[in-house]
Amino acid sequence: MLSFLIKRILSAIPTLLIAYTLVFFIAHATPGSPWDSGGNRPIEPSIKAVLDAKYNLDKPLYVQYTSYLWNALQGDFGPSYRDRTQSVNDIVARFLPVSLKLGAAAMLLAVLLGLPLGALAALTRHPAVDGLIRMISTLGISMPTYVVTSILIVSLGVGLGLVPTFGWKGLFTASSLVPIFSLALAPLAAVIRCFRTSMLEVMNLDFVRTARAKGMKPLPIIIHHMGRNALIPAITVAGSYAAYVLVGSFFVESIAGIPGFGRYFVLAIAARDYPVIIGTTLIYAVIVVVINLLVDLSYFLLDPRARLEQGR
Amino acid sequence: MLKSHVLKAFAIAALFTTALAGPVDAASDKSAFRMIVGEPRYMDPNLAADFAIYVNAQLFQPLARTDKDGNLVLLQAKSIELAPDGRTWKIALNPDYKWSNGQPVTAADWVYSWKRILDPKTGSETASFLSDVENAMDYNKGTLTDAEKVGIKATGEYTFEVVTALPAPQFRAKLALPYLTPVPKAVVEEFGEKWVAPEHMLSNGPYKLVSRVNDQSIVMEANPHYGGAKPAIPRIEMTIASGDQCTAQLRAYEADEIDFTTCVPSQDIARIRGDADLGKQLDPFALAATEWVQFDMRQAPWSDKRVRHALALVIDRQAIVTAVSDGTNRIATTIVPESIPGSNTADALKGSIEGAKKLLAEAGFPDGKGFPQFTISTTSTRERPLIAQLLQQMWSDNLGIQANINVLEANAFRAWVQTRKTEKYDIMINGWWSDYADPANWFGDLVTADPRQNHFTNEAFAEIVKKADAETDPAKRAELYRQANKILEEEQPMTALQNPTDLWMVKPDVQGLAHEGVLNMYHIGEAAFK
Amino acid sequence: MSVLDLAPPRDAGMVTRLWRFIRHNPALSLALAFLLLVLALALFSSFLPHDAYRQNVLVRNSGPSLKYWLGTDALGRDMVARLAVGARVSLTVAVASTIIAVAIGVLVGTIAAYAGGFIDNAIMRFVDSMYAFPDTLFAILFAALIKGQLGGDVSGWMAPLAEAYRLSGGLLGVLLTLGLTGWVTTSRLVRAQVLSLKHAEYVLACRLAGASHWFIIRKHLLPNTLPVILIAVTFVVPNAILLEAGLSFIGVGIDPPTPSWGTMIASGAQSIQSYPHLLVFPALAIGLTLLALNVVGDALRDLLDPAVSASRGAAT
Repeated sequence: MLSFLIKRILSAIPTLLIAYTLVFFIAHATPGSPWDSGGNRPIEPSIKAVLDAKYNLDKPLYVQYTSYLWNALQGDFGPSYRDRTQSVNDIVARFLPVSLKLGAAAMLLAVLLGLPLGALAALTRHPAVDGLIRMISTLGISMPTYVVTSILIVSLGVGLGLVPTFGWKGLFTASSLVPIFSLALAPLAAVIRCFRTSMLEVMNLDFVRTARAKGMKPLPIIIHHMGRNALIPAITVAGSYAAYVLVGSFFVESIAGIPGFGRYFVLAIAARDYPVIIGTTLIYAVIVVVINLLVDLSYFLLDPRARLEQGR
Repeated sequence: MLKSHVLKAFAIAALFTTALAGPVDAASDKSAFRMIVGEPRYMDPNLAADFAIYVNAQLFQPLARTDKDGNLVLLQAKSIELAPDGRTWKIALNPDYKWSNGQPVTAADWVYSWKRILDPKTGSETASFLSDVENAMDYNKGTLTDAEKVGIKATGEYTFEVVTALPAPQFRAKLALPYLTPVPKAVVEEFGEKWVAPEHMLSNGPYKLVSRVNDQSIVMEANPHYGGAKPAIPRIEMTIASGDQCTAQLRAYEADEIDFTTCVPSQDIARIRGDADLGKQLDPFALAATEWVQFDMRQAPWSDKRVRHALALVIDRQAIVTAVSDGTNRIATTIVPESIPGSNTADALKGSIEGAKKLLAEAGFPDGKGFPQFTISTTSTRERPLIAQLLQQMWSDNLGIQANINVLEANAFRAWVQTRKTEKYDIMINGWWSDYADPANWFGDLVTADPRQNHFTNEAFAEIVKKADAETDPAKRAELYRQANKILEEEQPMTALQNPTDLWMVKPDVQGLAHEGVLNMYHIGEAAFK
Repeated sequence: MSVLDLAPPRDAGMVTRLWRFIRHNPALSLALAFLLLVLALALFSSFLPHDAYRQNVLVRNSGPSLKYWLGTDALGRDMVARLAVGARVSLTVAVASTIIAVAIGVLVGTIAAYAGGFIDNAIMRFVDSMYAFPDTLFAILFAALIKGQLGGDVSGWMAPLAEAYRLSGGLLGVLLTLGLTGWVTTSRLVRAQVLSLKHAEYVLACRLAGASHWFIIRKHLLPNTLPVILIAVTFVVPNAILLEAGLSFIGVGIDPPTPSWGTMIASGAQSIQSYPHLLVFPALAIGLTLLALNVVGDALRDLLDPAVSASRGAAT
C-alpha cells in the first residue's frame, strides 16, 4: 500500500512536468499579446517593449520556461497580466474555492441521485421505468452543457423568476441551483448508466444467487452484496468526471455568471495571460492526479482483489 | 441498523435540498442602482483604455465635458483658457472638488497623473491622447528621459499649464476626455499598483469605491466630499459578467434584477422593439462610429480603384443593417460619420450594379472571370461574421467573385491585424469609434496613422490633412477636411457599411440617465429613482 | 452505419447473427433507422427544396411554416437544408477526427504495451499528462493556435496546409483539434488489451518461432484489440460532436457560412429567448443522434465484450 502510494506520487512528477511543457509552449505559440486590452487603437510598440521587459517576456523562451518553472516549484505562479494588481496565487485562492464548492455539490447530487436510480433501473421488472431512467441518463450526456444551462436560466430565471439569472451569492442560495444541476447532469447520467450495468452483472454472480437462495431479503442483499461490488466501476466513472466538475465548467460559469476557476481559465486564454493559463492548468493537472489517486485508493477499500494485484 | 442508515441519508438529502432551495434574494430596496458590467481591465484611470472607462467615469471626473456643439462644459476646472500663442492652455481648478477623503484635488495631482500616463514605465494605452503636448511622445517612447521637459506644469496650487508642440485646436476636445482625470499623487506613490484597492483608492468624482471582488462585483457609494451636485442614488451595485455581456444583461433586466442595460443582443432587438412594455424602455443613441470593409491597398487586384469601386457599389447596406440590428443601426455611405466636422455624405460613391459590373470588366475581370478567390477576415465578436456572410453573397451574386471567410477570436484578430503591417491580406471588416468629436480623430488617428493596416497612401490627401491639423481657424479647418474627405471617398480604400447605434434599456422608475458625449458615457450620479 | 461496417464479417454466420441481434432489439433497430435517416439527409441534402447557403434577409428568423418546415435562421436560410448540410459537416468532423484519434490511440497504446519498460513508462507519463489536461480547454488553446497560424496569409512550408485549411472553411482546424485531443482514452484501453494479449501463449509461441514484431502486432495483437477499438469509437464519436459544439460556442469553431450542428446550436443558444426554434431543432438533431449512437454503442458492447463496458466517456 505504502509502496504503491510512493510509486504513484513519484510517477506524477514527470506527468506534471510534461503538462507544464505542453501548456507553456502552446500558450506562447498562440498569436496575440497579453498587453492588448481591446481598446480602439493598437498598443504602441514602445509601450509593448517596456511591458515585455518588465515581465521578462523579452527573454528567450527557454529562459522564461526555466525561470517560471523554478518559481512555480517554490509556490509562486507569477503575476497576472490581465489584472496586474493580482498574482496567480491570489486568483487560485479566490476562484478555485467557488468552483470546488459547486463541483462538490454537483458530484454529491450526481452520486446521491445516480446510485438509487441506477439500482432501480437494474432491479425493476418494469420496462417503462428502466426505459425512462435510461432515457434521462442518455439525454444527460447528449446535450452540450451550455444548452442545458441556457435553457434552465431562461425557463427558471427569466420565465418563472424562481432563480436569479446571473451572479453568485454563495453555495446555499438560489444562485447555485442552476450551476449545480447543469454540472451534475453529465456525471449523473454516467453514474446511472454505469451502476445499472454493473448491478445487472453482479446480480448473476454466484454469491448473490446463493444469498438469494438462502432466503435473504432483497434490500440487505442489494446493500451488502451487490452494491459494494457494483460500486467500483461507478466510482471509476464518477472519478473521471470529478476533476472536470470540481474545477468548474467554463460554459456553466460564464453563462450563469459564476466567478469560478473554469471561467477564469478561458478569460485568461482570451487575454493571453500566460502565467494564469499555465498556473491554472498546473493546478488542474494536480487535481486530476490526486483524484485518480483517490479513485485507485478506493479500490483498495472496496475490493480485496485489487489489494492483491497491486501488491505484486 | 439499516433503518437508521436510511433515515440518516434522508435527513442529509432533505437538509441539502432545503439549503439549496433557500430564498431567492428579494430585489434590493431602491437605494441601490443595479447593473451588469464587464470586468474592468484596469480600475486605474491612467491605464483604462477599454470599456473600463464607463465604470471609472462614476469614480473619476475629467476637467470638463463637451456639449453637442463642441463647447466645453466645465466640471473640475474653473476656467480653461488658450493663450494667444495658440499653444498654451491655462487651466484653473475649482477648489470645491475634493478627493473622497476630503483632501483637495490639487494641480500637483493633475500634473502627476498626466505625466504618469506618459511615463513609459506605466505602459498606458491612453498616452496617445496627450500626443499633442510638447515633448510628450519623446518622453513616452523613451528618447527623452527628463519628465520636466514635458509641456505639463503646475503654476500654482490650483492652476496648471499645458503647452502643445504646435497650435492644436483639437486639444480642446481632448481636455474633456474621460481618459484624462487626476489620480491622488500621495496614495499612488505610497501603494504603487495596489492603490486601486478599495481600502486605498481615492476618487474625485460623484462616487467612491466601497468594495471590489475581482470578476464578481463592484460596489460604489456617494462620495461625501464630491464638489458637484450630490448624487440622488446613494449606491451602485455592479455585477461582473464575462463573455456575452449583452445576453446576460438582457436576461437579468427582464427578470428585474438590474435597472439598466447598455446593449441588446442583435437577435433579441426585434422582440424587444415589438414588446409593448420593453419597447418603451429602449433608449437608442446614434454613435459617431463606423464599421467598414477595407482592402489591402498594396496588393493587386485591390490596388486597382475600379475593383474597389465595383465591390463597393454592389453592397446592399440596408440588408446588412436589417440583418444585424433589425434596422436600428444606420446606413453609412462615408467613412467619417455625419456628426464629425469635415464629413460630407455628398462625397459618397454613386453608381449602379450594372456600372459595377462594367468597372470590374474594365479592370480585366468580365463577369468575375479570372478574379482570384479571396478571404474576408473578421473577428468573432459582435455581428461581424454575419456581415461577412452577407458580403460574401452580395459579391458572389452580383459580380461572380468568390470569397472565403476567416473568423478569428478577438485577441487573435487584433494580433493578426497588427502583423498585416508587413504581411498580405485581402479584405477585412473593421471599425472605429470616435474618442472625441474632432476630424483629427478620423483623418489623422485613423487614416494617416493607419492602425488598421489599410496602407492607403495619397500625397494630396496627406498634404491637406497636414495643413488642416495646424489650421486654427475652425471654418478653414473644416473646409480642408472636407477636401480630404472627397479624396478619401473617391479613392475608397475602405468602404463604409454602417454606423452602429447603442441600445440602452432603462427601467421606468429611473429618470435622468442621459447619454453623454461621443463615447456615450452614462453618469449614474445624475440619475434618480422616481 | 459506419461503426458496424468497420467490423469485417469473417463468415456468413456472423452477418446472420448480427441481423438476428438487431431484429430482437427494438431500441437498436430504431436507433439504426434514425442514424440511416440522418445519413440519407446528409448525403442527399441537394435534393431538398431550399439551398443551405441562400440568404434572404426579408424572411430571417421566421418560425416553422409550410414553406420552411423548420423555419429560417438569422440570415433567412432554410433550417432543414442547413441541418442536413450540417449533418454532413458534423458527421465528417466526428468520423474523421475519430479516425485520427483512434489511429493515434491504437499506435501509442500498442507501442507502449508491446515495447514495455522505459518506452512504455515514458509514453504512459505523456498520456497521463494529456489526461491531466482539461479536455475542452486544451481544445480551445489548440484551436486558437491552429486558427491563428493557418488563418492568415501563410508562406513557407506551412503554405499548403494553410491552403487546405482555407479550402476546408476552417474544418481542418476543428478536425485536427478534436483528433489530437481525443486519443488519450483509446490509447489506455488498447494498451491494457495488448498487455493482456502479449503474454498469451500463442503470441509467445509465435515469437519463439521467429516471427517479426511487426508480424505479431499485425496478425495477432491488432485484430484482437478490435473490440476495444470499436468500443472506443462509440464514445469518441459523441465526444467529438459535443466538443465541436463547445468550440463553436467559444468562437473557434468552423468558419461561416458552412453550417455545422455545433455552430447552429451555439448561435441557437444565444437566440433562445427570441427564436427558440433556432435552438430546439439543432439540439434535437444532436441529442437524438447521440442517443442513437449510445444505443448502438451499448449494443456493440454487449455483443463484443461486456467486461469493458464500464469505460469512461467524459464530456464537459
